[in-house]
Amino acid sequence: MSARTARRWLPHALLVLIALINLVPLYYMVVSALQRGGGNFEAGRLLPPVDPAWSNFERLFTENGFGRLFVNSVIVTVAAVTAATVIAVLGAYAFTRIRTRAAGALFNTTVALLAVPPIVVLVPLFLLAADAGLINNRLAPILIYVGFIMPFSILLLKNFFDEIPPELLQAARVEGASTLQELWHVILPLSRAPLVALAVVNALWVWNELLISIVFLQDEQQRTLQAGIAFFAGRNVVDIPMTMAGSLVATLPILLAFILGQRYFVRGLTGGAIKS
Amino acid sequence: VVRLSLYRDNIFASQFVGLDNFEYLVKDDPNFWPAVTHNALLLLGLPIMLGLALVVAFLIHDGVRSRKLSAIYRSLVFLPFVLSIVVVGRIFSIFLRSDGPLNSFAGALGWGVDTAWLGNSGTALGSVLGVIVWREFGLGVILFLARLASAPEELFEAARVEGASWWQTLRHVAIPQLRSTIAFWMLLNVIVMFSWVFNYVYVLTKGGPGSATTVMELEIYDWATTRDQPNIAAAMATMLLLLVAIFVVGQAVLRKRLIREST
Repeated sequence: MSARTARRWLPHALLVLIALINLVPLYYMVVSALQRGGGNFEAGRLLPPVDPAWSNFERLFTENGFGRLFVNSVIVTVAAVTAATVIAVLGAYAFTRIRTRAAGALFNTTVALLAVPPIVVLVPLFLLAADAGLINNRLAPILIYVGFIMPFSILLLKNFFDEIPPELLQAARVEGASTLQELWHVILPLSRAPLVALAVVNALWVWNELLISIVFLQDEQQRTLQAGIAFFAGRNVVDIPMTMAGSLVATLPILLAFILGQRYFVRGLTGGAIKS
Repeated sequence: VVRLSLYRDNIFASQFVGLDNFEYLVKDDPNFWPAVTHNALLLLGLPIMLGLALVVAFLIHDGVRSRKLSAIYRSLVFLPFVLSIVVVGRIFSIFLRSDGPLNSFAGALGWGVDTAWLGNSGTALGSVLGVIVWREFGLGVILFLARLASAPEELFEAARVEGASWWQTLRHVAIPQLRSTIAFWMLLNVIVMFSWVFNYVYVLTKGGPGSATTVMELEIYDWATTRDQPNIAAAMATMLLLLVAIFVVGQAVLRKRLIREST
């Protein structure tokens, strides 16, 4: 093999290797989800079982309340992402329009809040929520999620809004559009791609979040999927296939969202990041 | 935003409830220094992660001509990042067991090991770091690729004409182009290693065995919940916040200085 062919094929060989390293644990999750539980589980097994236990998935919903967990996760995710998107659009637009020093400082503060670790604000938040009687109320994590995804959302949208040519807005204003009409009729139709990206990125984060969810929703009825899996795994150490089946169920929606929204997704993640 | 600033006020309020809490943590808490050390050790994984992400990004940028193939590689590299940490943790806590597939695979290669990677205090922290790198490095690759795509193609063309090796092109053409993206991603990861590792540690080891993998966040969580001492938790949280703030401000100052020097 000449050096040239090596140079051509080596990247592919290495990338396939990386891809495999990324895929094997996922594949392992699927295979393990189909094994039988109890003492029969073979951790070292990488081949699919001879008679796959499809009933694991059924039992997940009938015996282990995964349906409720799923619904809880959907409620929290949809509510938080919707609220965050609306507020972020308004906030980002305000930051685009208002160019005073104070607004700039406020914007920088907002972005700096990206660095605040959730655990740091957890205790005060918990006390606040307890005061407000919001423990075990879905509203608590929803509000907190909105707070946490806000800095990134505003940063991303503002960067995009800033690039919209001012002439377009000028034209709208000449026709007598109010600020909100301008936002609704000019800016938003142009911003479909970043809005989709933002919603997907945020939904991913909220869907996958564990810490806030376990702290604020301690009641089993309110628990989210991620918390449910964490607890289930802690309680049923032997039933690994069930845990894996649960993990698979929790992963499928985001995998789907990832595949569908991929184009936007990657662009959305990088758009805001590269400029800052 | 107003609500977020409110959270902060609360922390600052608990700060002057008593400096005793700080003193206790630093002097008497047996888990405090191990936790800080583990956070610092996790930072040492960043150069590995950076190197890996740079090489993979450049491999895709430089070596893959077909657009379709490049898109497929990109999604596969990025795939782990969309998985939840809980799920990743569940998978790996079994994958890395003494009778797990990693060891059976190594055994098939004639490399008989029966280490319980996460259950052994010598390997646990390294394994946690491995899992973090596995999930997080794809984001770096994507960021770098996006930046490389907007870099002038002539630069790479020129390097090729001059017969620069793959390595030289990466080193002298790609990396300088990526400088600000690298800085951004590294800052992000410093924050990750200090203030977003809780989920990983919680689902993989819960800080064990013993205190072999405990980190500051986990200690804060333990103080606040199991040990029911919110004041001490808040004291530790304040320290963590200060640490992160130092890094962020330090990075900003450094960057400003670099910009000033280069102009």
